[in-house]
Amino acid sequence: MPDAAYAKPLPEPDRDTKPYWDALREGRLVIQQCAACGKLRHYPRPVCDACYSMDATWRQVSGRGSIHSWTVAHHPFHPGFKTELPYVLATVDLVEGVRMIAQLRGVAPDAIRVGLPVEVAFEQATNELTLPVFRRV
Amino acid sequence: MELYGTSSRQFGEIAVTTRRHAGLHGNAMMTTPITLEDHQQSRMIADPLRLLDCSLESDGAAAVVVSAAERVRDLKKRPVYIAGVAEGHPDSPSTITQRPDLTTFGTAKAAPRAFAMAGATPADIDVAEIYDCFTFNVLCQIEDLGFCKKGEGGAFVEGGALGLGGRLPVNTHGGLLSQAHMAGLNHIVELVRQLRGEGGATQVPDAEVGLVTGYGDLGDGAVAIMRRG
Repeated sequence: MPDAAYAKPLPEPDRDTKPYWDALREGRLVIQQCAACGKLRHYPRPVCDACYSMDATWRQVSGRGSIHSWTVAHHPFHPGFKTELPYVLATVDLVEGVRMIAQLRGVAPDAIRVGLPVEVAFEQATNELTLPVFRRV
Repeated sequence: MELYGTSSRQFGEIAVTTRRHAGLHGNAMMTTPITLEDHQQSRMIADPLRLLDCSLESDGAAAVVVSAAERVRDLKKRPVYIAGVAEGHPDSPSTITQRPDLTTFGTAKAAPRAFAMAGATPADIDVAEIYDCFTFNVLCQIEDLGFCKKGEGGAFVEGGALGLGGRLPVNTHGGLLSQAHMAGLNHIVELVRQLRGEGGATQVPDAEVGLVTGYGDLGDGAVAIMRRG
């Protein structure tokens, strides 16, 4: 459910990131892919760091992966996060071979381990924006 | 910590030693001594980093004068010579998340070049001022600089090794953790003071060769090795 009084900072889609946010709103996770050499890159940005091509396409990925690293945030660096503390921020190795960061939902901090299998889920923040989160598989 | 078994108490060793130096130094924001237990009981900020693992936010200033070597005889102060400098960037340089190894900074690439330029080895370093935005950054840089192997930094810092009289006196001014966050320029100022013998209560006796590091948000590392003139 979208929260009318969404109090946390929201990303501002731009030329490089709009297709990513548009796909999330449709319940799909897409990752930017270099059109020249095929390397996946995340977060979205204008230039491939392997071949420096500025041509990119988008690839829909499975959303499945495993925990690479994580932190448990106990301090609200923005007041909007106060009610969620503590929350888990995870870096996930997607099976397609690129990493992404998102909050991890529904796993007690003591139960998190490197390699824990997770999959992406979609949380609607506002009518315009949906954010990715991870859940245990 | 998952890879090498490094512990929060080992982070605490860095915080406690650094605070002790700040208390002795005479020009630091945080001077009240802390214990390992104080560190362990300080509130969690972003696990595993507690409040006492985090550096300060400070208003202030720091400055150094860099001169051509042939001009130094005209100056009143004893010179300190820059013997070797290098910077390095981590893989990947652009995103922290994609790095193969979160615990290896650009410092690991910079250090061999800086030591080679200076004609020195880690064993020659009498005092080190190491960029300490968080305690763990000190531990990783000690490894990257070659004072011990990767993964052994936790054991290295135990038992007061970073204190005055320890195997590697580190952050004799109290660092970003306890002196002030002057973006690391205060580390350069302190190394110059040490190599001039102006270190006061935290002076490392007969310090001849010292090292200072800088660090950037994405893991960029800079190393300078200096010699007493």
